Formats: sequence, structure tokens, C-alpha cells
Amino acid sequence: MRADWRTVRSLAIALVLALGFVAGWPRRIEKLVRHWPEPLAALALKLPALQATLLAPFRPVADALGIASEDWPLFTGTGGTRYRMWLEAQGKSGRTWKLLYRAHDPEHRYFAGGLEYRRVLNIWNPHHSYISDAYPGFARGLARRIFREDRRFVRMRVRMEEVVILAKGRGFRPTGRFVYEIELRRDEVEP
Amino acid sequence: MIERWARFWDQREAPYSLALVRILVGVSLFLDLLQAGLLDVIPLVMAPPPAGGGYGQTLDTVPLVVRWFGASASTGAGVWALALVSCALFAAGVAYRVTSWVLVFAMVELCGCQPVGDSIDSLLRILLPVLAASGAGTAWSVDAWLRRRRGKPGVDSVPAWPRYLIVVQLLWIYLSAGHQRDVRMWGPPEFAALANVLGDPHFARFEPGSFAGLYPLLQVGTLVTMAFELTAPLYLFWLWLELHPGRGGRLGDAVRRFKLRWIWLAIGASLHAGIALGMKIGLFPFGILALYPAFVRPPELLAALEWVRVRARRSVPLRAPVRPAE
Repeated sequence: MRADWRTVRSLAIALVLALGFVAGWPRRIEKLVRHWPEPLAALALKLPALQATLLAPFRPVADALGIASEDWPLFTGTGGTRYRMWLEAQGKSGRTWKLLYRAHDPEHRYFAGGLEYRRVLNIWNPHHSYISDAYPGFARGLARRIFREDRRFVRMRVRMEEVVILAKGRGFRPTGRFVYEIELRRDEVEP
Repeated sequence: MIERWARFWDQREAPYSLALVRILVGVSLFLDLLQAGLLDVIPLVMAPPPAGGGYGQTLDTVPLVVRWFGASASTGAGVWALALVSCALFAAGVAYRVTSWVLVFAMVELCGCQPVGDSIDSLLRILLPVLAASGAGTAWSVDAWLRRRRGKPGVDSVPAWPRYLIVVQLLWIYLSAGHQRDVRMWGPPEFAALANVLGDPHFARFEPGSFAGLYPLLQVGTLVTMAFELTAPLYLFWLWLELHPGRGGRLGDAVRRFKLRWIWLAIGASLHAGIALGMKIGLFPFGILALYPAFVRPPELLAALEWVRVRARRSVPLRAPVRPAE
């Protein structure tokens, strides 16, 4: 009986390892095989479909455990164009924007601890060419906080300035170009 | 063949390495969750739109807690509270068989309510069930203490396979991360990746540009990081050579003499310590380091703890004899 259980368990572990290996095939395979020889690249590009087919029967278990993938593209690219978050608010006069928070700006640190907490940072930090689906909800939640804390403000905006990472570790250069801008009025967000 | 495979995964060992993983993972995750509460970001992260960014509660596939309690800020806060409490009990090893699975559930629901996590959340969702199924709660825990108080003997050995799986998982992460890196930044001739990261205003802990004088050192750091990650699978070979002193010929002798396995681990620990020091990315480096005791076999861990204990005792200064007042 014991021997049977050992065997079943070891085979289950073998299955988990095999599934983990398949789930680890890179999702960004198109990018990875760009410079590969044609026949090899064509073969590699068939992998995602094969991966989906092989994993499909086990998807419900993976979903129940919140396991999305075994692919770990950590810090794949650094440098080039990056972003710097600006958070601003405006009073009734509507003439100027007051800078509340800006990433890596010691003079403007409104709610910096909260904004830089990893789960919040991951919401507003753009990943390569997209930003999280939670970003609009985050902006509204943040607007509610700002308007609640300071009755003078009637408008807020959050946006990302594109910055260029300089060579040889010399920091970054601001470009003055902004993306992912969300602007909200008090009457739009107050319940 | 199958018999050998079954025998390998049936090995048992003292529970201490797994227990240390349990404590370190539990403590670091607890502090991370606690930090969210102290910084008052729970509504921002967990409340569904329009009150916050917890958009998972509004998707088609709703988390179980949302089916039970509805989509609201309090549901999100409740999941966070459940994760916090179960994490504390998990770390302390209180009713481990139950609380560890409650933590697994809470982490899945946390992800359901707020799908924007980072890689450490994904990793913990994979490894917490492994830890929950392990004997990690049988040592250095409240359960073990209660067991002793009831006069029952301590647990001498637990299945080793959960520790092996944690090791394989960590090695895979390194290899997967390493082979996907953009060569223009991580490879020759620039090896600029670490310098670039330290210049990114969203992640740099120190003033971007302040390490420009150390650029050559950062290039070496980038090279070492890549070498460390891409050689991760060799860790199993170094370990095998260590466990089989007569094998491997000259290479085996060299690996054992230069303690290659330990050098590789030391590089990994330094790498994560460097990330924790130089970057503001929260739990990731601490969470990974919390899993490192899985690399250490229980006899090695106990020997290391004994070494620390002896050194600590020696370093206690001798008190000067008390002279009676004249």
C-alpha cells in the first residue's frame, strides 16, 4: 500500500514538473526568435498553440490556485524610454497646477509612502508600452483622497512624463512629453 | 526507473530548513501586508472602481469572496485582513495544517480582487500550497511547542520533496529570467542594465546618476547577474558532487574544494541584497531570500546555527567581578 502511494505521489510530482516546464515557455517568444534562422523560428512560433493545448486540461486547477504561468520575464529590458509620475491638483481659480507628488522629487512627496508601496506602484508604473487596467480606478480613488483632504482643490490630474535613461549610469533626462494622462473634477468623483 | 524516481521523492529529513522558510516567508509577507494597512492604501488597491483600483471585483470571472459578499471596498479589505491574520498564524505555526491553507485561499482571493500584483505574488501563490502540504509547521512553531507540552515527542523527520520543489522552482525562475533578458542592455559590450535600473525614477532608491562613478563596477554586476542566472541549473550538479565526494574526477574535486555551490548561493544572496538596497520594489528581494533556506540541507542548517550559537557565546564579554563597597 505504502509503495503504491509513493509511486502515485512521485508520478504526480513528475506531472507537476512537466506542466511547470511547459507553462514556462516564454510568452514573448515572437520577440525572442526575431533573429533566429527561419525554420527554427517557425518551429518555435508553434509553441504557444501547443502550450495552450497541453495546459488546457489543467487550467481549472491552475485558476483555482491563481497560477498564471511559469514564465518569469523579470527586468528583461532596462534603459531607453522610461516614465516619471506627476500628480497635480488645481484650485477654483483654474490658473495653475500645484505639483503634489513627482517620482524622485524630494520637494513634492504627497502620499509618497502609499504611492510607492509596491502594490500601488505596480498599478501606475507603465510596463513597456501599456499601463495596468487598474490605473483608471486608481486615479479616481486617488482623486477622492485628494479632494477629501483639501477642500480647495477642484481638479486633479495624474500623468507620466517620458524620460530617457542616460548612458553610463548618469541618471535620466526629462523630455517634457506626457502620456497616460487622467484628469478628474471634484464633481466627477465625489459620491 | 520508476522505483528509483519514487524512492528519490520519498526521502525524509529533519524539518528545520522548511520551518525556517515558513518563518521567513510568513514574516516578510506579513510585514508587506501590514505595510499596506499602515500606509492606508487598502481602499486604493482593493476597492472596486470607482472607489479604487481593485478592478478584479468587476471582471466576468469574479473571485469567490465577491460571489459570497458582493463587490465592495469592505470585501477587498476583508480579504486583506484574512491574509494578514492567516499569515501571522502561518509564520508562528499555529494550527498549521489549517492556517496555511487559509493563507493559500486568501492569497488567491487577494489576486482575484487585485490582479495587478508582481512576480513575488505569483511565486508565493505557487509555493504556498507546497509549503502548506509540507511538514514546515512541525518545528520552531507554536504547534511544536504545544506538542511538547502535551508530552508528545517532537517530529524528527518530514518529507523532503517540498523543499526539493522549492529549490527547483527558484532555479527555474533564475533560468527563465536569464534567458529572456534583452542582450542590448544585459549583454556585451555595454552590460548597462544595472546602471539603467539605478537611473529609473520609479525604482531607484538613491538619486539617479549618483552611481555614475561606479559604472564599471555596475557593468561587472550586470555580467555576474547574467552568469548567476544562466548557470542556475548547474546548482544541482554542484550539489550532487558535494553529496558524492568520490565522484566527478578533477572537476568534482575542484567544485568541492572551491565550494562552488556556496559561492553560487552567496552571489544570489548578494544580488537580492543589492536589489533591496538599491531599488524600491518592496517584497520581491526579501520574499526570494526568505526561500533561500530551502537550498540549505537541514544538517548544514543546524551546523550553521550551532556555529553562530558558539560564536555568540564567545563574544559575550566576561563581567568584571563585583567588588564589595568599601
